[in-house]
Amino acid sequence: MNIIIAGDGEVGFHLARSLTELNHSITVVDPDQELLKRLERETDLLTIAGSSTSPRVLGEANVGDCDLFVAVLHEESINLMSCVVAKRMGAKRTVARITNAELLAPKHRDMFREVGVDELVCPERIAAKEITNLLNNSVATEFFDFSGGLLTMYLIRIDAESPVAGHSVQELVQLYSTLKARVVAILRGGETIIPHAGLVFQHGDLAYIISRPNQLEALRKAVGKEDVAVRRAMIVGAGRVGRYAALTLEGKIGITLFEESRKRCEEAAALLERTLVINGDATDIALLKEEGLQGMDAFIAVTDSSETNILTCLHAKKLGVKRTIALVENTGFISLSQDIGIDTIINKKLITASYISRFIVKGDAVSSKWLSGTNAELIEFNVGRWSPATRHLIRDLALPAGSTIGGIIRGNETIFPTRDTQIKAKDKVVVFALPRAMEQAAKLFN
Amino acid sequence: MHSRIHTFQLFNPWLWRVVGALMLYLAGALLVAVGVSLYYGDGMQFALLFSAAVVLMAGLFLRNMVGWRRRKAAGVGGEGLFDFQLSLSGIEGVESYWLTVCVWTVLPVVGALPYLFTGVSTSVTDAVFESVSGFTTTGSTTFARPECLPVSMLVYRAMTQWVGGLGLLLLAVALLRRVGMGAGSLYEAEFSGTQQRRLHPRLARSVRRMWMAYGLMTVLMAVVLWVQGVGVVDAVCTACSTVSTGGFMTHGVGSELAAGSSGVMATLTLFMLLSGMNVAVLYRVLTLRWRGLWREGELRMYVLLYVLAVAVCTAALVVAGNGWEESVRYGVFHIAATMSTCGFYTPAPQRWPVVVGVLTFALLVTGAMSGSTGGGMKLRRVMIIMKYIANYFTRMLHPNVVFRVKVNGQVVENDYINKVFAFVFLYIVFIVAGGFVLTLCGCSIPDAVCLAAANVSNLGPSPLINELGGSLDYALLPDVAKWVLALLMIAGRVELFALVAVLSPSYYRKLRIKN
Repeated sequence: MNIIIAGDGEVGFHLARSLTELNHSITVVDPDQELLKRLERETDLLTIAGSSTSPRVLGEANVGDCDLFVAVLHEESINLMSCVVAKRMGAKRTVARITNAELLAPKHRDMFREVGVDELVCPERIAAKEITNLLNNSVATEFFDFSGGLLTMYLIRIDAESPVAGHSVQELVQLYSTLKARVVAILRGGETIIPHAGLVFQHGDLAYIISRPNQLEALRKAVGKEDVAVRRAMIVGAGRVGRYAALTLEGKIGITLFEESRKRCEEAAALLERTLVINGDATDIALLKEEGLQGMDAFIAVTDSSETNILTCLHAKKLGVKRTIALVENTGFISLSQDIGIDTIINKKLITASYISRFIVKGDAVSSKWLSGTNAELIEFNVGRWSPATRHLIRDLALPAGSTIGGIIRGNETIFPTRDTQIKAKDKVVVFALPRAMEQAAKLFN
Repeated sequence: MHSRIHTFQLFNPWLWRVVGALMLYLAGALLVAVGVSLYYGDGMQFALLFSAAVVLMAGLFLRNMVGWRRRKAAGVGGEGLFDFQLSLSGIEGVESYWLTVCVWTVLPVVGALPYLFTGVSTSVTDAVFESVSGFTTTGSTTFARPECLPVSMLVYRAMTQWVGGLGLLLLAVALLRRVGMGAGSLYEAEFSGTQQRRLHPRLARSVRRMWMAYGLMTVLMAVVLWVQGVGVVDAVCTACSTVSTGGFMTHGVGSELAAGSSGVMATLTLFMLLSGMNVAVLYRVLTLRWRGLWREGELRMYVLLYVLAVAVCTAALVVAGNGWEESVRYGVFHIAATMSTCGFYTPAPQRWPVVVGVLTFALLVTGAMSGSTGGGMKLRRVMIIMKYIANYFTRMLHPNVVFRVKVNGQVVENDYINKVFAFVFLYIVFIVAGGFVLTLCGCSIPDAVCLAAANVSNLGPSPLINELGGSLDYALLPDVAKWVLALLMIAGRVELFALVAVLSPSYYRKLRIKN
């Protein structure tokens, strides 16, 4: 696929790198020559310095042949304008990153399609949505639906008191024979392990488990998580993510929103109806305590500073808050903060890249998710009619090393594959794969 | 350029041109009354014609002669002698207060002439009181028996209310040809309670739309009343008094009410409630743009408060031993009359519990919706204060909390909230001060306070006021009291600030510095 990415900011940079690894042809357009040079040195792609709204520059990037045009600059209006120009010049599909979530409303969609902007992506909104989803789910620290919710991937942290800690994957299967679930990977100390039957769970592991949504309760018991209904939550940082999260959560649960800047506080107070907006320094633990931090069921740190987010989450954890979610923009910090016990890390770049990748792999694979803390990917393949995978039972398939099958969706049924399962054409197969195995896996199922 | 030619702004010729032009319209209204007089043969035509001539001359003088030389020097003017359209380019910022007060005092005083000339009022005090009460849509009257008034005077009195309903300044704005700097502040002076978006980008057009909605409703009501068998004059007069939330009762409608006509009562109640609504909201109701109407916070408060108050009032009356039917009828009508500050009066049931009195007092002070023809503090202000106070309690628990008061999702700036608090305080001061003077005039303390409140809220008659009894005859009050009440009516109608500003010495200093 020929893909043009306009904007070499954090989202663009990450997207470009991951897509290159998936063997797409990427051209990056950005006004900043220095950044582009750095990118070109690191990755195998073409860079063009210049404004993405300029037809000349887009012509140079060969926009007429591009399958996907992604504009992810900071400025919303430039993104929209770039998409309009690119579409007119022949881009097949355009995606613009926006900051104003108001534009996402269904009634505005046709308007943008008409002028040539096919898809809109608002990273802050996606992050906020992720937060609200996570709060509704007390078992997993991350989750992702496949095929409209028939299968779900859960990321579950194994605590010291968890009954499965110290037991092997096989023992888990024997212990809970009725549990419909499959462990596809374990993240331990920053390393991604594709588990074999004898692998023993350790305290602190992050397990990627594919299961059905209706198995959630059984899964919760199996891994020994308390059922915490979140009634009160504290959000630190009234940036866009914090405001959107508060907006979707308020009314359902009690929200206290903390923000250091007076101006942002006032903006948030103007937007929100039932949220308690507190003006204060989030690193001032005495103040957080005064506002009832200890009584909170969840603590969400989404300030602009990853360090503040991590530190305040740790503090909240120490004071007994059950669920902590931190926005960590610095990708280097992600596995570190998972190691030190923060439940969930949200990264706008990753989720945006994951979201945008849905538009790319469409056709052969339905949805995909880049996982935080690992560079592995979960992809849902539509098994092709002539796919090599339909010719053998799973045990005889030459699955590439570094990949594993998480589940199979056949019609409305879900199958957790054993060695004797036969994959059929038109099945949907959820595959967990490290980047090096991705290409081979794609060949196998298409 | 023009601001250079003002020497002393109190005699700003542009300002007096507005007053003069409005007087020409008053003369027009008087000519209509002359026509009515001739048609019904009540013998008032010469007196009315004479008043019309006096008002016309005065109007023409003010409009064309004051500052004529200066205007000529500045090269502006040039409109014909009878060209009624105005240009307001010479009135700026703070002067709009002065204009507001001038318009609202001079016109009612000039409008008192017909009462004197026709001889229906025997003293200057009574005539001015009646006229002020009409223009400010208060509805307090010195005529205990309206059937004694000649038809032409009834119609004239109703017309003064009708014009006063939307406001004299809005009438001026509607007539503007060129809307200068001053017009926006005029609009604000008349509608200081709202912060609403205009109905049209052009001020004059949006004001004309308001007049249209207002006129439409008047006609509608008159027709409905007429269909129900009320006489033409009574129907028109009552319609004018209702949509303007004035409350001058005519004999025909009064006797229908006393006879217990449910149809007339229902019509009055419905239109009183409509008149208590914001004119912009009303415009939407009348043009059938009902979508999202219920999201209007103030409207919701208005309706809910009405329902609640009716329930309380009815329950209290029933508990006091009145019949169910009578209690419901009285509750529905009386609360609508009070909340819209229409002040139509229907004889109270025999057993009238104190709690209904307290409820009435509270409702007449809070008043109608902002931007309506009604008076009182306006529900929007009450809403802002309630929200502010609720937030204040939160602040006691969370010292660092940040909150914004919102109405309909729109943030109310702190400056505005301060103004609202100042307004409420002033309102109380006016009631207390007015009550003080009235007690000196010999009223009992509850009566004095109720009288002051009812008149500053432009409510007028109310069963609260015992001293005056069932007939609500303001004629029994001493002259001083009438002048005080007239001042309170004007203060309430211009929403206090303009009057207070004009009465403060620093205002003149500012005006002088401007020169």
